[in-house]
Amino acid sequence: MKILAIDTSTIAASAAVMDENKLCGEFMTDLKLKHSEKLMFLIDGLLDNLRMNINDIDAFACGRGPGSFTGLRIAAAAVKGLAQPGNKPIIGVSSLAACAYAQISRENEFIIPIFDAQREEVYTGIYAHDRTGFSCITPDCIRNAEEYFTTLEERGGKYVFCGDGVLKYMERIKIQLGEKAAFSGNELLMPRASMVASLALQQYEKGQYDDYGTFMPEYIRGTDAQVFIKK
Amino acid sequence: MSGVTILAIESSCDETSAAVIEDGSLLSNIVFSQIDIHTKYGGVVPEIASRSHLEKVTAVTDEALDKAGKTLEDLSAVAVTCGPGLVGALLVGVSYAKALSYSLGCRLIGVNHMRGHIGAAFLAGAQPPCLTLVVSGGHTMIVRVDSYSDFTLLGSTRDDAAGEVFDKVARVVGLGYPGGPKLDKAADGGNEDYLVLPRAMLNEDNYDFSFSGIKSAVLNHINAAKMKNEPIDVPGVCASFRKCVCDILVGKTIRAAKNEGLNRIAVCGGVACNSLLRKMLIEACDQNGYDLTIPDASLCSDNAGMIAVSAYHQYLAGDFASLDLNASPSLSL
Repeated sequence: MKILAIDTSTIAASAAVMDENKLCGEFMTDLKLKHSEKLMFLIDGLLDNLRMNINDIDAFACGRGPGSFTGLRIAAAAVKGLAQPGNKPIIGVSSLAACAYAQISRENEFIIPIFDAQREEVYTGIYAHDRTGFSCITPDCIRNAEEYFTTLEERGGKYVFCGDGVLKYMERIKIQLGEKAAFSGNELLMPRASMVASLALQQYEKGQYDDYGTFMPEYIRGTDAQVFIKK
Repeated sequence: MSGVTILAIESSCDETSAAVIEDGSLLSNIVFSQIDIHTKYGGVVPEIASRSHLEKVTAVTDEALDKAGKTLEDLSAVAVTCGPGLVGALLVGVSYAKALSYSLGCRLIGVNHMRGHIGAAFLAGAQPPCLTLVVSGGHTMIVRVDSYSDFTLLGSTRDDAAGEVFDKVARVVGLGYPGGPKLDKAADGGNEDYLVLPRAMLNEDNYDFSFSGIKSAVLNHINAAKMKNEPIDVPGVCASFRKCVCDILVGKTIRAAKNEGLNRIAVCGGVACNSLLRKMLIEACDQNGYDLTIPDASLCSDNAGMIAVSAYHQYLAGDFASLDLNASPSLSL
């Protein structure tokens, strides 16, 4: 089964094709946004290089968030349009999980992906990898950055941080957690479509997928207007 | 050229819509309006609109194809509104349409929403050359239409759009959202001379509009009345305000037609549903011997049918978009 995966949840955009367990190819750009202009070229260029056609793809995978609302919608709308002819499956994968999955060589450390959510908040979750496999310890959520780092310190254990939040919060994390914190290398900092594809394959085997009508992003944060009305 | 089947998508503001057109005949036009979603916020909330578009875009597409008796594989092109409008809302339609056309291996067409409104007039029988008044919640413009693709902007609003001031005045007098239709109804039976309002720019030698001063005059009256604890004559305020805006719209439109030597007039956009505007235009065109085209209300408010009409003419002209098509929130005519 060939899966085309995409992710535009952060300022990085990527597309990857996996054939069963083989990563056939991946294109990734980390420019200042412009996802709307670039995404289809990224996909088309990748398929072209792989001597493939969009019709060769059996299922689509998408980084479903959390992340930039607009970025999530660009990927989600695109994947819906790609999957609708032929009613092919869409596998939605947590963008935080995809980011964490690049760090699975780090055993005995909790993997903490953090995406900058502005307003001193981060999107995050706690992930881990051991002999039993990759797992989510604390589901994706939005937290005040300062409070969250304090909680992690109190919780105990060692951590490896990844995600674009590292760029903003590295110094504060170092002050708070000291020796307990390690950081992803720059090349694996952002969520990648290849990781989305790997996780998608696992989810697909468990029957966890949507179609073009049911697939939706996971925003986590409500809109300001909704929050205002609730207050 | 025959056998041209186009799916059009519209998501520029608060309607999610899909339509299918075949050889210039509109086969379906499905509109999901978000009005109920935005009412409690008193206006369109862009982030909520964008989320809702994503939830509905595939469903309106399936329904439009079903109703037209077509499948995705029948399509010659996928067309989409690329601007002007709310950027987040536009991006849903644009991203979806690009991927769909790519997946189908068919053409992609990017349509200007304002040209789409004029497309609705074509669908209702307007023929170039004609003079067009495009009047909506986001725009107010007078356009000379020489062919299905050759449009010249003669004038536009320098501040608020006509539909926008209708909404604002409606909100201030407590009519709620969407204000245009509610104000139109409240004005019926009101005294048009209750407030003396400036006919801004009506006699200036151009085709531009300015509505913010009129809006301020109404708001000042209401605030003054509130300060003095005097009752507000809502029908009177609405009637005076509506008459003022319509006097300007009709006056400028007729003058433009005369000066441009055009004897056909078309009116489109959401405010073309306003009952007094329709009545006054019919009378003015009768007096001057002009042909008048006003599309059905369903084609005046935002819908993909009008986008499909424009897309069809672009298809015939070979005007296609590439995969880097982006949303252009302030695209000009």
